[in-house]
Parts: sequence; structure tokens; C-alpha cells
Amino acid sequence: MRFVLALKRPLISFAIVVAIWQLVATFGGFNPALFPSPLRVAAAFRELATTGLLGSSSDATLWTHLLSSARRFIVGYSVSSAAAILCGLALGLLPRVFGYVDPIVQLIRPVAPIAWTPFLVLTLGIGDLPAIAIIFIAGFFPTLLATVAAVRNMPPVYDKVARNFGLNGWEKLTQIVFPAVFPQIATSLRQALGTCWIFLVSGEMVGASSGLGFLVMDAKNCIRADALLATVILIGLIGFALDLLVRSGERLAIKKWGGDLKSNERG
Amino acid sequence: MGEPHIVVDRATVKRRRGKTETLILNEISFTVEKGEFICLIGASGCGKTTLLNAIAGFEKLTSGRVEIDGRPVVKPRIEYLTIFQEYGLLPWLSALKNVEFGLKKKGVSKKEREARARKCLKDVGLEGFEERFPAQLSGGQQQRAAIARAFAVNPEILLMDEPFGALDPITRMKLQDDALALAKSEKKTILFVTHDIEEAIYLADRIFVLEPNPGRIKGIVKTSKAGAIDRTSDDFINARNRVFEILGLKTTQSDPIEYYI
Repeated sequence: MRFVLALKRPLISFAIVVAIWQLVATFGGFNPALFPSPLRVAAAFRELATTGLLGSSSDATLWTHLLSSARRFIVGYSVSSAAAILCGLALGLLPRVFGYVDPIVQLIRPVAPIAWTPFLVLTLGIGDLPAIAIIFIAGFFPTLLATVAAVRNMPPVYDKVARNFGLNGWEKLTQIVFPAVFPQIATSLRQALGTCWIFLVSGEMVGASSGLGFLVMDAKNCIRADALLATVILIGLIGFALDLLVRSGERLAIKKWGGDLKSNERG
Repeated sequence: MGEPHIVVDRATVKRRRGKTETLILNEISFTVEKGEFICLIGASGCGKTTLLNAIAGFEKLTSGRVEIDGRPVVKPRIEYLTIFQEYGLLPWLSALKNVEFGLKKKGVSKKEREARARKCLKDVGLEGFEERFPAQLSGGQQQRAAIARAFAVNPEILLMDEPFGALDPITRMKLQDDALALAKSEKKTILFVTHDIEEAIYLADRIFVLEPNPGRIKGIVKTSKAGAIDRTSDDFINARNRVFEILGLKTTQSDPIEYYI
């Protein structure tokens, strides 16, 4: 029920946008092949979903592409998040080591992940790996830095409690440090989810021969604006759904583990 | 009196910041007997928290030594627990789980852990609040939970660092009574840092008055503790006068105020 209510406003907004789009397409006098109406896009969506893009080099349907993208996304995002949290916890607890690592991070971080694509395609070839590597780069640094900052800003009293109760390093990490910093990490994990989805598509546009990003390029090469828009809309909808999913997941986590309910409740 | 329980011998702490070196504690020496309630009092920056941290094992001495039951203190131990002004409860655990936290480390079985934690929460007046998270408790209740967590592991010594500093005066007095009652019934040795003179007199068997720059003990006030001390009794006023004298807050001349009626 709550979920349905949460969708009410977005659905109304989407309906308004589609209506304006239809009006512009009908009365704007654009070439329908270059600026297709919502109905044409819906037809293209059906075509992609059932037979695949006509005239394409690949006969994969939309679902096959979606599945490739999802697989890369899940692998890339989870590996990058896990690695970032583990490294972040370690570097947060070892500030001296972080002093050496930080310059490297600051050097790599400003490089747009997509700038790595040509290099990655050269070294890793066309396929799953370049896209996964780009997601990894996109998701890794923000979560890493958020985790390090969270560990360093942890109230010193937690550390004293851990020492006073005689916790060893591992117990301290799992029973004190991780739960203490998790709310801050969760925020960056949610942001990274969106970022990774963005960069997955960018990565696939160059480094893959399947996936939604590839489909965008494929539709462009076939000069099929309707199929292109259908794919773009699907990409947007999935990003939207991912965010909804993470928000409700976060809410569940807060309910389960308590903490400061007020300061954690967002949006 | 037998062997002293806690021995602090010429404890000195220096801190270096850039090129300047500050003397935080200067050769502080004293002993504490088992079951004594000691208050450390003094202005901010007199090193009372540093001294407490040194006894707790959080702070390394530059020179001198701290011994508990004849064993030098080298690191924090579960036998000497600190209770912090900011409570130190873990916000992701319920009150009950917070109290169980220390017992878990001690290897107490799950069933016994819960039973003991419930009893300790009851002892501090938090029955019915077991499932609440720290953020859902008031400041006074949080400090009670922290005290319950400390008592649950049955430490020999409690080191309390301005534990009631963040509480309102009424809650504070209530907690003082409860802390005193628990200390006596459980026969704990307590070192209690405060900057509230009346709190110190009310609680302590002996009050160590510290002075800053460099931190040292300026005087010790013994309070007469024949039963609970009345906050308005002569003994209380006398002890207060002594503390004021040591702190140099009392004029020694005869009363300079004139009354016109």
C-alpha cells in the first residue's frame, strides 16, 4: 500500500511529460523518424522486446541485452562496493598508510571513469570486462573515501569502549567500527548505485557488443530514433527503480538496527 | 588497612606539540583503598581526565607508574571500566544488547547473559526499557544503561569521567544517590571526575583537589561519612569550605560584608 502511494506522484509526473511529448510530436511538425511520438516509441519497444532490433548486426532481444547489463552491473557494483568498504575500513584505521594512498586516489579520482574505456578495451578486449571495470572505477573511489572519512570521524569513545572491554582487532572491526560507520557508508553506497548504472551504460556504448549501452549505439547506427528512445527510457526507468529499491532497503536496515531514527530518515 | 588497591606513584604525563612540551601531570602520587569512593576535582585543564585515563590504561605515562593490586597498568582491562560523560553506548544495539555486550566478551552463555543484563537494567531503574535503542532514551536513562553495562561485568574499579556532567540538576541528584547506593552495596572502588564541588562532597570518601599548569594534587579533603551525608549539614558545609580554601576561592579575612538593617 505504502509502495503504491510512493508511486502515485511519479506516475502523475510521467503521464504529464508523455502527454506534452505527444502534443509536440503531433503539432510540432518534426520528422517522425527523427522525433518519434510516444506511440512509435512504444511500438519500437515491442519490436525490441519480441524480435530484437530489425536490421541490427545482432539478433538479441531487449531482454538478452538487459540481462547482460544486469549481470555486469551486479558483478561490478558488488565487487567495487565490497572492495571499497574493506579498503576504506583498513585505511581509516591506518591513517599513516592512508597518507601515502590518498595522493594516488586524488590523482585517479578526477579522471572521468569513461576516459579509461579506450585503454580498457585495448587491454581487456570487447566484452563484459571493460564495462565491469568502468563500474568498478566509478563506484570504488566515492565509497572508499566516504568509508575512510566515516572511520576517522568515529567518536573516540567507541574506540575506548572497545579497548576497555578487551575486544581484539577483528572483534573491534566487526562489532564496533563497521556498525558505527555503516549509516554514512550506506549513503555513499546509494549514490554509487546511481553512478554505477550511469557508467555501465557509457561503458557498454564503447566496450561491449551486448547490453543496453550497446543497444543505444546499435539503434543510432540503424538510424532508429524510436528504438533509441525506447532504450533510453528503459535505462532511466531501471535507474529509478534501483533508487526506490535501495531507499526501502535502507529503511528496513534502520528499522532492524535502530540507531538514530530521525537523522537517518531521508527523502 | 591492607595493601593499597590502587597505587599512583610520581605519575607524570608530558605532551609535545611541535616544539613546545607541556606538563599535563606533574609527579602525582596517592593510594586508594578497596571500596573507597574518590572524587577528582579541579578547574578545566588540571589533568583530572588525563589522570583517570592513565589509571584506566588509555593514557601512557611519560614517567612514574600506576599499579592496581600490585600489577602495573599497561593497557585497559575489563576489570577497570570507565564510564564516560558521553555514555559510550552503542547506538545500533538495544539497551539490553548494550548491557550484554561486555558479558559476551567474557564468554557468558546467551541465556545467562540475557538474565544478567535484565537484572542489571532493573537495578538501575530501567525495567521496561530493555528493547529501546539509546536514541530513544533520555540522557539520564542512557547513563543508567551505561552504568548497568559496567556493573554487568562486575569490575573491581569504576572510573567515572564526569558521568553526570550532561544531565539536568534533578536527574543528576537522583543518579548521584543511585550511584552511591550501588557503590556501597556492590563494594566497588570508584574514581569519579567532576567539576561540581557539591557533587564531590556528596559522593566521595576523599576528595582530591587538583590544580592546573602543571596538573598536581593541591590538597585532599576527607569527608566524614557516618551514613548518608545531608546536603545541608554542618559536615557538608565544612567540607565545602575546605575545598574552597584549597582552591583559593575563600577569603581568609573576617567577613567583609556589612549588614544594614
